[in-house]
Amino acid sequence: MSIWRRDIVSNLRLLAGVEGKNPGEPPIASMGASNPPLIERPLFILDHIVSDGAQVTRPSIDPYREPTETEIYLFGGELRLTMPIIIGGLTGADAQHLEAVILACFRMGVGVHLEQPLSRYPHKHVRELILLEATVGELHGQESGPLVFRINGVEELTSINHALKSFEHNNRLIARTPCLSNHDFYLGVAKSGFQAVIIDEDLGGEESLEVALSEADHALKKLTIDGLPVRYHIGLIAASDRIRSSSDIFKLGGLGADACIIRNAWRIGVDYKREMPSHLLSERIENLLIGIQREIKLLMGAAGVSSYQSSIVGNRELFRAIDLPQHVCERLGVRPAGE
Amino acid sequence: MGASLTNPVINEKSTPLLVERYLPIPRRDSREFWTESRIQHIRHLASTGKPMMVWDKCKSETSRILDRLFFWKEFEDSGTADGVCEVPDEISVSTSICYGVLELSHPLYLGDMSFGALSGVPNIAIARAADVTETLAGIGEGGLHPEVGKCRRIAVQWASARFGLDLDVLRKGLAVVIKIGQGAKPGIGGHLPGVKVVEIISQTRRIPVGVDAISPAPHHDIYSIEDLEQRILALKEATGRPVLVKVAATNYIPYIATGVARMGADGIIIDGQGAGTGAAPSVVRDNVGIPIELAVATADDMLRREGLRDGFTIIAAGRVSSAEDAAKLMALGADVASIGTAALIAMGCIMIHKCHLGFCPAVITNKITDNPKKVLSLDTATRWVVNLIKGWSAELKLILERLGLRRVEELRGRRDLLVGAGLSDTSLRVLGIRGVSGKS
Repeated sequence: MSIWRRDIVSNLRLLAGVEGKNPGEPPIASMGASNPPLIERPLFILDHIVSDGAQVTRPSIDPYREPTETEIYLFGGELRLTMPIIIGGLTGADAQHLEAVILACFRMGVGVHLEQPLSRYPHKHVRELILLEATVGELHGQESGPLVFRINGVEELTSINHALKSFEHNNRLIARTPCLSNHDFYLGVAKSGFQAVIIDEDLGGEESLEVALSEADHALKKLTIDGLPVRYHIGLIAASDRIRSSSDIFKLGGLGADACIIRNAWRIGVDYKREMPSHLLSERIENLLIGIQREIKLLMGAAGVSSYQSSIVGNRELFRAIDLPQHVCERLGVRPAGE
Repeated sequence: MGASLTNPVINEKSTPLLVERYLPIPRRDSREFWTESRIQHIRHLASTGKPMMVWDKCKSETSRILDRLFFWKEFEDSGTADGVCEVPDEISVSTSICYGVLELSHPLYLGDMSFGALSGVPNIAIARAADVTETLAGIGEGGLHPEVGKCRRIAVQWASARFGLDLDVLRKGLAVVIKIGQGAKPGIGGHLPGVKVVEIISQTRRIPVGVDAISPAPHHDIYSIEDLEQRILALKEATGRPVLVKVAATNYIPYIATGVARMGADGIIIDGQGAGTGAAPSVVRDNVGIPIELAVATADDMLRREGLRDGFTIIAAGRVSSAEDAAKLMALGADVASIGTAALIAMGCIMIHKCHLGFCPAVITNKITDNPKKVLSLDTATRWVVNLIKGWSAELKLILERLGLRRVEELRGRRDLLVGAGLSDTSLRVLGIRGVSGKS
């Protein structure tokens, strides 16, 4: 069974303007849902998680008529993204397409995760939004801007930490790790001066993205420096090929992700082709991002929440798990539905 | 000449084709709760008014929590209850139920579907069927269709947009429903796409033609449980009718149910995730709210613990597809089951999920036009819904008889009669039932 069900693909394409005539508008449906976990087969933990609907004593917020804020801040508040999204999966894109994607992301105020070097240096304001993959050897001479280092475990963290201390730089450092559940590892990352961690399911690891993210969030909240949880200073970013939709992003937010790197979702949404014109690519990405943002606002409004970062990120109480075993619920910190 | 309020659907100049037969059920290219066999079962009930089976065979096709609950008795029957077509004369089981001043011959509430979401004839058919069968039909939030207003057994809805409401309208029914939430879209308001807001809908709802009717997400005069109490008391005083509060099944449903009971409401309609809707953002429909079975079980638990259960009615809604579903929900703590989508299927719905576009091939949720090419036959639609209720009730009687119960009220809260198969430890604990490793 494909993780890219027909309804998921259609939804993304409607948002991007590939299908339908209301790009950027959350698609409307009718009659009952048939989504997982109760009708369609659940494939991931996310499929078992539902969000709250506020009512009576905690009234919902009307996203059509009342303001809701989806922006999130990384690097201790120095980088503001207008929504909890970073576009990734750009390996193999040619220079023109890369520029089109970066331009669309800059216009929309979302981040870009690049695994390949930039062919030419963008304006410094644009560079701030680019999470650029690097090695320690490349650190010297880098212009300022966020740099991402792959760290697969404690040993690698120790050696990179050692190497980093020998360079002078102005870059913000991000660790990109597999899905690990080792609390000490995440604490080590925080103590090594990294300002954000990308927990990347596509790098493998012993855990699912949901569990690893939740464990990292828990670990970083427990560690305090000067009385404040380290989690306040270090961002958590979830990454996976299988982050499919605004609801996945929203639920990962609830498990602790400040932002999510989406890879396949945008490609499928904009119907990406190598030969597509750059302006069309930009336009569709912008449509898709506007649509995802509106869908997130609908979910926030329904849950009675007006601020994503302060009330969704890590707020497991707004979520419930349907028919997940107790031990998984406990690791996630999400209560079973009905309890 | 536009359609009028007194003759809202069939224009005198037009000679539309009267729809009196079911359409073929289309092939599915994705999983669907309302499977072909579920639709066929409902069509059988609607066509004959007679039972088709005791235990719901369709439940093996889907994996709702409710589908994985079984009455112990079913294990013992081992096929002997297949293929029934009558309720034997020797079976004397009562399905009537009384709550407050309301008496229902069958424990069924015909869910709140608005005029506008439905195209007029189905609204009338449902209300007339409620009169014939002595059940209760909620009119939804679209104002009162004049023909529906002639029926007695209706519950008038007081929703956040107050479409077409005044004191006369509120007094038309046997009960008033304060709609706080809806299972298909918890936390957001009703939504009638502008394409379906034609002249007659504009008149009934008192809104402009062609503009989306998006109801406010919350009631802007209910921001606390005390606000809700004021509205409940005011509506009771103004109408002299019992007041039900309709909410979606969400995280805090036990507390909400307790609050609603404490504030003086006569009952609560809990609408579970997966319930039908005329239009909702798919992201909300698919990701917000919890299943009705979990919500009913926990709401019943807390109401009992707080000493608020007696005299307070729980109506369970959301994907109620068969008498067995209704019976299980009652065993988990509900008094009455609400059917909405099942009633639409009885009237010919083939579940193509296009209600929001206004092009319903079964002419149930289509956009109302001055000169329609075809309209649903009111007589036939009414007969189908009446038959559905009769057949449904007959199947419920057979279940009650198998369980050794004489009255449907004896089923309420009898979780000891249920067992769960293939359910997680968490679901079993929330439901308060035992689990078995698999159904034999």
